[in-house]
Amino acid sequence: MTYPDATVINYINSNFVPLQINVQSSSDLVGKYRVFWTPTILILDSNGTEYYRFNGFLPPDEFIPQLEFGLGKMFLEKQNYKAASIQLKSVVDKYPMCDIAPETQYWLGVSEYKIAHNVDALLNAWRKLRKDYPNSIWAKKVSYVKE
Amino acid sequence: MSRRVLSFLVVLAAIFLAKPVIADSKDTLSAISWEKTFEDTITKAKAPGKPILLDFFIPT
Repeated sequence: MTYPDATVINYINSNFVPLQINVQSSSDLVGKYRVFWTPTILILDSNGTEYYRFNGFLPPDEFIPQLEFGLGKMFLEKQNYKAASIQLKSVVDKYPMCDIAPETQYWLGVSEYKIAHNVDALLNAWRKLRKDYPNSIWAKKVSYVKE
Repeated sequence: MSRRVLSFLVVLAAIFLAKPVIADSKDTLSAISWEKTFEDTITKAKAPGKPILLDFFIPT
């Protein structure tokens, strides 16, 4: 189980306002967020706008990176590129072997590019993606980038 | 002498009374502080601008 894990508890209590909804008792929210399966985990901003979601149980060492990545995606979509870059870099630095790492490296390149339209930063991040995660679908997405 | 005994008993009582308080605060920290309603969650999140973690579950 993920929620009894002390690291998960501390991370959630420190970084989020957490809300747990029983799908059998709240049809309004189930409809609003188009939930058809459990568990469904969503990251929302403080207005309730959704920025990231994932389904299914995960062990703590994959669950926390997903949450941290979700915050990075939220910053990215809010066009707060510096915050996104810091957040996403932190994920790949701390959890280089987790399943979300290749996608994180992809979006890290995008956020670094967006800060100052720095093409070199983008290409370097994507070269690192190809080098570190050659078998990931995210490496395939940047396969046209020259070495 | 009786004063010393009395002081000892007071300290002993304080230790026994404090123990459940310490245990309670540990219990509080050992669980996620889930909100009960969406409205309360938004209210709590807005002031500090904190993101929300929304977990849809089904009781097992």
